[in-house]
Amino acid sequence: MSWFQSVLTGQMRLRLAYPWGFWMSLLAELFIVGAMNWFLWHAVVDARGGVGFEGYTTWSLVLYTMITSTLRKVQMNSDQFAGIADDIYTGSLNKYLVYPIPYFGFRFAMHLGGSLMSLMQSTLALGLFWVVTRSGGEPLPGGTALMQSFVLVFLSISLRFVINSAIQASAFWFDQIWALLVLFSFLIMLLGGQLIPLSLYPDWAQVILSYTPFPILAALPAEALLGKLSWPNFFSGLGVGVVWTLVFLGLGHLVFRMGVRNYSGIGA
Amino acid sequence: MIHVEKLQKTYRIPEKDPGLMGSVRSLFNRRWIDRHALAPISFEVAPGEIIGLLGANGAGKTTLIKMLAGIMHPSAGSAQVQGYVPWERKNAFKKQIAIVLGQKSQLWPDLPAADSLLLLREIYGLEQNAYQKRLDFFLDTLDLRKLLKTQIRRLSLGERMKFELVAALIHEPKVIFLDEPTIGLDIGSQRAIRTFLSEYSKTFKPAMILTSHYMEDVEALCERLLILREGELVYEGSLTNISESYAQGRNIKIQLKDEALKHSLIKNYPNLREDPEQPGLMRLHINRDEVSETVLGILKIAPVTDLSVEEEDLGNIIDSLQTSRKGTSR
Repeated sequence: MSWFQSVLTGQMRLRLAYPWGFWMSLLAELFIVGAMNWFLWHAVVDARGGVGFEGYTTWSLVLYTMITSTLRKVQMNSDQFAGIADDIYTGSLNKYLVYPIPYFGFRFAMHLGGSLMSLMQSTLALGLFWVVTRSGGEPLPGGTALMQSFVLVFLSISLRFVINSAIQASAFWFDQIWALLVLFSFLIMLLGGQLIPLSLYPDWAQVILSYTPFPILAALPAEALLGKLSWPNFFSGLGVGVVWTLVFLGLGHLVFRMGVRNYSGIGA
Repeated sequence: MIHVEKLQKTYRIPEKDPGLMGSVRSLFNRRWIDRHALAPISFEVAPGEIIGLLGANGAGKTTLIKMLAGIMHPSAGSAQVQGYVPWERKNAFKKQIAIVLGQKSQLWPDLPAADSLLLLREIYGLEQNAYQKRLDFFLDTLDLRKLLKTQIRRLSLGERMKFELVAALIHEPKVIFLDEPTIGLDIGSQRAIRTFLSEYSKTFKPAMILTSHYMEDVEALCERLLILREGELVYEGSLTNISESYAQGRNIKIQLKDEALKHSLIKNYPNLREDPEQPGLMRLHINRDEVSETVLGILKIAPVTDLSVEEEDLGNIIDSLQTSRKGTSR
């Protein structure tokens, strides 16, 4: 077993050892998001005289927001969310700098391990909800939807990690980077379609956003799971996501290499 | 093995005036000051040697160790550890060094020690048989076998430090940096760690740099010392030479046969003092050149039941070197 697998499975075991916190917050979030959106979209559709939105029923809009909300939890992976910045602030980075392995690789293995456990548990919860409520007749995801969404979810986990890493590496210079992470989360809500599907945005906005990293973090995996993503859109989204992942990976490494020259290992 | 040439470190740290206005002003006009953590320092450490790196808090000990372990970049100067520049952090270099920071755990607190060690086996790419052999050696030597499956966070400080040492040494490093490995431990645990390090050094002969505030650590483990004061190297030499170079005084202890002669002695030796905790025991501090003359003089005046001449305490000498403004010795 390689060190990457060891770290990944170790993190998965750790998450399994303390599952209740995740389940409590997941169920609470799904209930609140689901209920809130159910009332909201019903009110909106009623106000439009019963006319829905193209491609979406009220139930699929509710499911969409529940999927993006779950996806946010899977990507955020709370215990790893500010791990790199914490390592820099507390001096815990010291131990990783003397290990003969890449620091970002180690952190990514931790992040992926936590995210995979969150994904499995979230899929179970969401699947149960979908089956039990029948979701107003929305069909369960087929093979294509599952495959597309699995690929995009994995890409979104990776992309979120590299963007967060690049932001957190700025902790070498700044005493507090929490605000930047929160700002980024708000940008995903607005520009990634976390709250409402991007297809409800004006056409010009959709075109611009399709070249940014944001839709890969929320809208595209949700659309894929709901069976609303065409193959051309899947591949173009995949391509854009891979490019942004590589860009932020390089940027993160560059920022880290520059920042570590200022590192003093304080706290150790 | 370790070659250091004019290595120095200066921190640039922000400074702000006190109060709310000071905070507001610093938002727009931040002032920076240079803090010299380490003045240019040069030394070498040979294989198998244990160097004691001493100094008061803030003297630059940890800064020096972090630079040699590749954690920090220096401001100027050069260093080679096992032929590598530490701060280039090449994997081949990292596989040959270990660092133990007494105030910072290297282990994962939520995992049992066994899991942390297995992870380290993967990280260092150790072959299974060699890993098991070394692990057995450490578990038996440090009496840790029964604790292997316990979560790190549930261990006592002494037990945790023993596992820190196992984790640091499992890949058989050629160079070991020990930054206060016995800090906060009880006397029994301190002794166990000292004995282990001494035996380990004799068996595997790595180069070691040890920092500690405990004289017992230094006396038991180190043959050579580097003493830092406010970032400057003020002493480099053997532990035995430090007494010869700096112990200029001697302490004479006298137990008089006849207490009535005490006042006659004090008249001749005004510095003579009675020990407040041991009545009847007289103490006199003199220059080491005056020992024979003083002892003969005392014996002429008053017969004694006991008389001893002692060197100054090594701890006091080192403490004075660390903190005072005496001349330096290189």
